[in-house]
Amino acid sequence: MLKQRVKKVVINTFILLVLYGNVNGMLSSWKVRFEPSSFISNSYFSNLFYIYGVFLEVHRFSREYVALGSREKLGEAPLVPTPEMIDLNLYSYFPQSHGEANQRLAFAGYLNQPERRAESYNRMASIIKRLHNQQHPDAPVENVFIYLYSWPADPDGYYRRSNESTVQLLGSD
Amino acid sequence: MISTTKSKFGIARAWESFWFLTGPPHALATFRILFGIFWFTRWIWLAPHVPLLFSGEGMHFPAFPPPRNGIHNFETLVGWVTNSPSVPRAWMLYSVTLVLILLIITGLFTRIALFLFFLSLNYHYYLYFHMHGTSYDRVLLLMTFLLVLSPCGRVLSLDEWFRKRRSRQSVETYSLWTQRMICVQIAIVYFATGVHKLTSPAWKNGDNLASSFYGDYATSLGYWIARLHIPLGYFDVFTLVTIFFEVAVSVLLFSKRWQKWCFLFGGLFHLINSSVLWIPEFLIVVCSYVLFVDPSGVKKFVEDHFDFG
Repeated sequence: MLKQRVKKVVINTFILLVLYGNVNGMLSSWKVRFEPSSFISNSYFSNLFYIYGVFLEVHRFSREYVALGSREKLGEAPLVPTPEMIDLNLYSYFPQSHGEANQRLAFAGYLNQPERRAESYNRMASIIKRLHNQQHPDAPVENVFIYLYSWPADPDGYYRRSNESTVQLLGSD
Repeated sequence: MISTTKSKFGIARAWESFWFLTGPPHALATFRILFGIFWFTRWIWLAPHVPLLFSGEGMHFPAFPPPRNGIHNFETLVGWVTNSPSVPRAWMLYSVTLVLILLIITGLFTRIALFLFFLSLNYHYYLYFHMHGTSYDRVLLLMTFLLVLSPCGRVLSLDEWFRKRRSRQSVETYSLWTQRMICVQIAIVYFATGVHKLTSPAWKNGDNLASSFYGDYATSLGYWIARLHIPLGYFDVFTLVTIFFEVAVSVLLFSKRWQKWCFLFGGLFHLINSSVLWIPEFLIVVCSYVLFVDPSGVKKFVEDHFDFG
């Protein structure tokens, strides 16, 4: 009997905890409460219930990340790609759907860590250089640069870089 | 037959009768099998990319950096566990997880398998899936944990088969609070995402919905629809219908009268979603509909249609 009572108290507490997590997650997603989990300040717990925000922004710009390699060692990373650079097919290293790959390439998981996010592009360039040179020992690259192209979203095709596209250097090895 | 324990007070009684229903665990077992198949297809797809995705040799960007001054909280523990796994370790953990998924589907050592799978899922989440930062990975973590605590392996499983071989007697009814919990979690997902759309400036008209057809997640079918250049007014209406549907279904799924319609429109909603957007992961929500059905009804259906000897 006592065992049953204890079990029920534990289950009830667990149910209340999950409901609390959900209320907290909802209020945070709806921007009603801006500092989630003041009662339980565990990052795992608050992260687990942050599930209710979907498509937070209207899709105004399409994005394409590119990894470009240079055969010769460059002292400084060019702000815009040069014609000599070769495309290393960045998306082959992110074999998911385009949206999921773009989320990973934007380091959505590091949204609250801007410094780490910025540094990660340099590390990504190093990883791509290592993997590329392993796969192509006869045609190695000396430097790898990560760029982001963005252009006004267009219903007539995602992979269309119009004249309006902008390019941004994100990192280099 | 579903029974509930009695309680003195009105609210307490309502709480008890809602959460602590008892009945056969066939709906949970059916969901366990569907959940396992869902994970099997998702996991097997990752096989060609294991070193690239899950090892320190590939795109290794874990959620937390390795600890510098020892392990003293959750972040440092995760940082230590996910610190630069070798390729053999990545393959080992991937393969063990695949075996665990097969154990979950077949229902062998179900609870242990689910618990270890939950640990593995957390590991892979903080190692790799977190980079994506999506809702469904978190919903799946929650579902897995609730399944660990549930009697989902008591029937339609090898565990049951071995148990029956050892002795004839078997327990027929179980406490199904975990089944309720998963249902409530699904209902909250519908409700909260619906209200989020109501409160978010991005969803103030049909613009967001229209642009998602040619956004990052759009499929070829999505693009094809976008190229039809449907007037924005239609997307305003579709947005309102979606919000209405999400809020309404969160309540009506619990109503026997409306369930069939909810299943029909919910299935259609997720099928369309998965066709125009690359988010097939949300199909797991459709699989969870079985949990809303009366447990005795699911048992009867299973026994009438499948003979497990």
